Amino acid sequence: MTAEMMKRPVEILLVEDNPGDVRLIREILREGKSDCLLHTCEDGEEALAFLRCEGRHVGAVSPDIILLDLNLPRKDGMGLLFAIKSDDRLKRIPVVVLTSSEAERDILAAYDMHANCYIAKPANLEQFIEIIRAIENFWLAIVKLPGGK
Amino acid sequence: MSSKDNHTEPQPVDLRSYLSRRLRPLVAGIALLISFGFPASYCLIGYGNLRHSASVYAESFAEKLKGVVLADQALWKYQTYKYTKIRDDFFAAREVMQLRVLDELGQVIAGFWQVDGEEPPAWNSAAPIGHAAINFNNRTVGTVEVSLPIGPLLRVTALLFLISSIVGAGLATLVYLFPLRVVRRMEGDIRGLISNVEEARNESDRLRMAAQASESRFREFVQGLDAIVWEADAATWRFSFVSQQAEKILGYPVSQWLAEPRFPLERIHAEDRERVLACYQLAILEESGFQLEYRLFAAEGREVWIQDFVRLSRDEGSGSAQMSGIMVDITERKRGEQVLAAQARDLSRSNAELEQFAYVASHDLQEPLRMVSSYVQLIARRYQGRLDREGDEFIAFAVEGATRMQRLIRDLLTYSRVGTRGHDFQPVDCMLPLRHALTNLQLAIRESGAIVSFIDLPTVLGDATQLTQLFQNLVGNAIKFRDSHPLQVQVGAKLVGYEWRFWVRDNGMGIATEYFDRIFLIFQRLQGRTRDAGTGIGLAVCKKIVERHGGRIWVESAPDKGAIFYFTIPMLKRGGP
Repeated sequence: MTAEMMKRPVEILLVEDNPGDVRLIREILREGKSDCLLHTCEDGEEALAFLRCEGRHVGAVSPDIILLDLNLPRKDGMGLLFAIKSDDRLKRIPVVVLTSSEAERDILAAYDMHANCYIAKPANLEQFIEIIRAIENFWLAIVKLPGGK
Repeated sequence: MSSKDNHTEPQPVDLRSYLSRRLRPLVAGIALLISFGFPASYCLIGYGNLRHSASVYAESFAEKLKGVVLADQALWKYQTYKYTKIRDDFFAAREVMQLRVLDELGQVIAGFWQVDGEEPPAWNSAAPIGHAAINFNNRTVGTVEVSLPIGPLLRVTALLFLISSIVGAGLATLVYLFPLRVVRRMEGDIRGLISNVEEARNESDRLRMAAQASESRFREFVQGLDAIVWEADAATWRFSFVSQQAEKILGYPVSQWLAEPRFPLERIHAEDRERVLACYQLAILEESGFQLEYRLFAAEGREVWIQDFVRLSRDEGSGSAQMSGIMVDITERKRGEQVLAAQARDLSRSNAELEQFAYVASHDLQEPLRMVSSYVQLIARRYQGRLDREGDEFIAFAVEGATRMQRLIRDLLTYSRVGTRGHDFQPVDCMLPLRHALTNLQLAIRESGAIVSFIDLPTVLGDATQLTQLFQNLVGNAIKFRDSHPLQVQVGAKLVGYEWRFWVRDNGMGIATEYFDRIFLIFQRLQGRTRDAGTGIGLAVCKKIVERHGGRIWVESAPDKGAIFYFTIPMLKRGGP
């Protein structure tokens, strides 16, 4: 953690319809060391509106990283991923697919649509915590993100 | 059937006796005619000639005698001496036997004999005699009779008779014998000819009978065939033959087929008609054969599926194209195929549903379960030690239950995916999946100190990933259920009949006979939870993999005697699931 990074918290957009998972991730992040702001959307349409600052999300911040669940109501995760990666203004934002599906076809489809990485949610809390920590360490600390973060 | 009785043995040919009977009168006639007729005619003609000569002589003598008569009309009868001169001249010139002069009353006046001085022989009235009247003033005053010698004529006639008899007899014999000889030779030929004809007739009888038998057999065969055997002219579609079964199969009398050209064409199902007609047209054009399946309407309106085997041929005689075919009723088969197709559709739909279920289970069922397990663990993490001992224990049970359920779901998925997520079969050298499986089990093998040995494994048609899982589960099981003494696992295969029989043998704790079947069922475990944490899916997955490869799996074992797991994989591919 550099002093420079401490200036502004990392903006994270979590697209997840399960409030249990939202809460769990929020709790784990709170226990963690990184300074981050977690924004959540429950479905793909809303997430897209958030990213494009439309509707009630006028003035929303542009997230530094997106955590994306695939199983979503309305526009599903794959649809959202496709919309993000085919939008010139959004495609640079790294998308971490975080889903409970271990199906081969989901993994291949996600990478085909330029997901930045694919992580299956583990059943075990310890493992889940480890994974969230790893995301923090890698994506929020090691990786140089676009926009100088 | 009794042609043997119909033709009798050939009659002995007796042309000779027939001919001999017919020839006898002819031959007799010829013999008689020649031996008698010839000399007789000669004799008669000769006799006639002699008589004529005698008459001429008599005339000439009478003429000469007329001078004597003119000289003395009254006494000429008595002046016989005057005759002597005439007589001498006369005899000198002719071979006259006897000469008499008779008066008007027929009394002999003078008689002369050729040899003078001798008493003349008696007058032979049978000898050729010529008469001549001595006329004077238109009055017959006497008669001259001349008798010529008959002896030379009779002698010649006798000689002629002799010769004619010989010639006649010879000729008759020839005429009799020659035809008989010819006939005798002909008889032999005729007999040979007749026996040839007989033989030929027997042969042709036999052939005809054989042909009849063959034809009746063929007819019975054709008529008995459970199919419509037919023949028709390709141009007019007029049927020349339709077997009896047509009536049974389609219900129309055969006579209707024969009477109506294009009979079956008019009864083809509308959906098939165009296809069938096109096929027939092409076949007629190319004079080729084909076979086709289509529907015909039977007499009672029922739909009958027909498989039609059609052949085109050209009649050598008339040059017209003929069609012949066999229509087989395949309605039952078609029905079966439709049922099968429906079942296949059901099956593939149910497979798709199962796959959908598997996906749902992997995603939607795991989701809430993960919530339960995660939050129970979060509680444990946050409140461990802050509750009493019982509270901690309860939390531990909840966590264990959730974890276990998660594993069950995952195993269930693994099991269902053997069928739904398998790869296409390809030739696989079984050494590769075995080595792969042993690599995956490396840690367990090292920890247990097991010795795994194997002999060369064959190449089979299969799914390498699943075969790896199969070996891994079987060897893994052996390790898991090892005994206290050092574990030895042996893997091998040999060809039995048309399939490879693989085995995985261990010297572990073994299995009691009553569990041989149960161990291959899903979630059936023989061990309590404390001993191992398995869900009992391993062997069920093995069974499913082996069955997908067209084989069987079974176990031979006894408690404390180790176990041998056998499974088979066919040499040749039998098709995937």
